[in-house]
Amino acid sequence: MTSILISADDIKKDLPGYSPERSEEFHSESAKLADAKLYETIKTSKFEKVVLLSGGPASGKTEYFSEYLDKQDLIVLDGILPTEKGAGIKIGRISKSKKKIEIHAVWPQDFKQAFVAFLNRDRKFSDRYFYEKHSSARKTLLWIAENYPHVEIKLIKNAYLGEDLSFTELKFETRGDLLAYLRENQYTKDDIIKLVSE
Amino acid sequence: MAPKEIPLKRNNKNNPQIRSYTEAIKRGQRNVHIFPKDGEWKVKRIGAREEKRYSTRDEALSKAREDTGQNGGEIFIHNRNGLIETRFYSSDPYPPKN
Repeated sequence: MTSILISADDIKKDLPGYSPERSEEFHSESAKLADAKLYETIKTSKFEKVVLLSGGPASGKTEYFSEYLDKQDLIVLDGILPTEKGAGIKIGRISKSKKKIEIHAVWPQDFKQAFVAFLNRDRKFSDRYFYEKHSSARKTLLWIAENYPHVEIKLIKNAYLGEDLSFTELKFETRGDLLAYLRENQYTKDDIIKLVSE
Repeated sequence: MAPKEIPLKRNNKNNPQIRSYTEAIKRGQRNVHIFPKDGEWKVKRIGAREEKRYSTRDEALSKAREDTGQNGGEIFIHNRNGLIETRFYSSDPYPPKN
């Protein structure tokens, strides 16, 4: 069993002119290509479940996929899900295909941890990108939870401990508990800047 | 009600994807950040409690170079909004001017 991973970051590597230092320049194009590949894959693949990953940059999504989702029969979109519009389109298209859909949101235990990883990996983006996407990913996740009650959402926390990563799933008794938690854990860009710099 | 926290068992302690991430964090822990704060310049590592304050940016830069030590590392200078204005290696012979 091997999941089908669709990743804008992987697609970038094949774009002419790309280098890791120019990742942000290529992100919009690679994200569109990833979406197109997702829609093609849901038409052609026999796999019955689609997982959309959600979470800001360097939150540990790809790492979570590689550890827990890789060896299953899944179609997985490794992305941020930063906009309600984009999320709505994806959920709509997947629902039409009759495949099951899940959102797996990966959040760092500590924004500082994610920020440090973000600044020091090969793919370079502006720090503004970090703050904006972490904020918008959470906002979009809440919007999905409020507007798509049939879409299962898993929330995973990623912590850097003892020079290794550990992952914890947060399990909620009810959808209402999940919604309350998501509402309590929304951050603006400025909130995150403050948390990272203090 | 607060959620239950269910630890997920790690299957592959040598996961290369995870190793790459943790190595990025380790590199980042050598870096030093300079923030303007209340008329002074704060020098610290992200995630560390310790921070030192200096009245001029040059003093802060000097401390930052010292803190990155022999292993090198990057220095990040932030603006008043907290965003990074410039980043450079502490061994860079041409630091940015004020």
